[in-house]
Amino acid sequence: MSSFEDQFYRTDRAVWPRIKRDLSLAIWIAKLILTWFTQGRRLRKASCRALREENVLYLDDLIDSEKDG
Amino acid sequence: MANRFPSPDYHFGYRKAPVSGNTINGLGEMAQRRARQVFHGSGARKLEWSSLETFFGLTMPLHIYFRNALNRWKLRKADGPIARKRTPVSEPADMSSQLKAIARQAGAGAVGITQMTDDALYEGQTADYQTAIVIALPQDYETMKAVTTVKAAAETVDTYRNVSRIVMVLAAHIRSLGWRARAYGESADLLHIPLAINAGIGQLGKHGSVIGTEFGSNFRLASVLTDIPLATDSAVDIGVDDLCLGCQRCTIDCPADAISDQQQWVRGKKKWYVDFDRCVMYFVKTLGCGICIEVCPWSRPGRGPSLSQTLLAKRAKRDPT
Repeated sequence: MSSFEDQFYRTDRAVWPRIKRDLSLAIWIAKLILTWFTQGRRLRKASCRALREENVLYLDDLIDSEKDG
Repeated sequence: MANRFPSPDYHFGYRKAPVSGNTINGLGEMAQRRARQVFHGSGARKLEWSSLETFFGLTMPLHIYFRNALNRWKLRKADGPIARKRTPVSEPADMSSQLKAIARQAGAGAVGITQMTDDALYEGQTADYQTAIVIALPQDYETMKAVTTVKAAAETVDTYRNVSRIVMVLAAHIRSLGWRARAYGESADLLHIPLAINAGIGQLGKHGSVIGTEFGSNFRLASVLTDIPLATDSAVDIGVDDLCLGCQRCTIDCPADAISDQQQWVRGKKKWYVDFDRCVMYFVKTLGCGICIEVCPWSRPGRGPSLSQTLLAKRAKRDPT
């Protein structure tokens, strides 16, 4: 996957590629925010539980499995 | 260890440990090579320690997470179309002064210019530019005294947002003169530290951050890469090694015990190096940590210039040659 710069920086003068860029970036950011409320909520709850119960929260169980699945 | 900071006990971790960040960073390697990304990606691609970074981001308070996202939106204008008519530059030194003045007017604390070098790029990446303009923006020292708290984390994010704004202003100005220029704020593509050192912003401290004369290491960096002809600055010797060899403040105060008293071989260079694996776990636990920056004696406002003079005078006395 390419970097943020490769994906969202545009040097062309034409308006349409820049509108497309703005739209795809807005979607990308909206997904980030949504992730904070969905996956983030689960993570924060699990994190608080692990802290309270003095357990270890394994990130590969929670984060990688969500990505793979 | 100062007990005012949280303990290095972790309620999160990996079941199957990722490749050590120290290995990826080339700790102990005698041959020169470019750096590889480990953590602090832009979120646009997966890195070896991505899960920890995801955890870091998603356990941040929403207002900090949101500010970061907002900065990403603004950074879309870090590059753009170039003016059709190119303004010729007959005196690169004058242009350097003009651009530095613009950066300072926009709020920069320090500005330096250097040739773009490969060691500022991660392996596999390219940036076909001649010159880098590096900007340092100081953080509020009083706020940063609250390191490891939400208050200090918000100040750090705001400083990154403001330094991003400055480099975007500068890059837009250069493009309006008909020359290519791309701003790199909170970037995953560029290593600001080697550029800052070459541009005379400061020297590498034992805590792995740049120490500059005026602000110590209490600042954040951003850069503009450009082709406009500019006069470059030189690396400086302000006595940082003299301080770091004798001072143990960050080494002692780092709860994660990540800062070494010895310089180490990293990708073919002997330099100060912070143990990534120890640092990053504590960094994540404490919302971006920053203890080493805050406790560094050089970071105290107004202290730096006299400290530098004293260190250099002591060295001259010790070694008159």
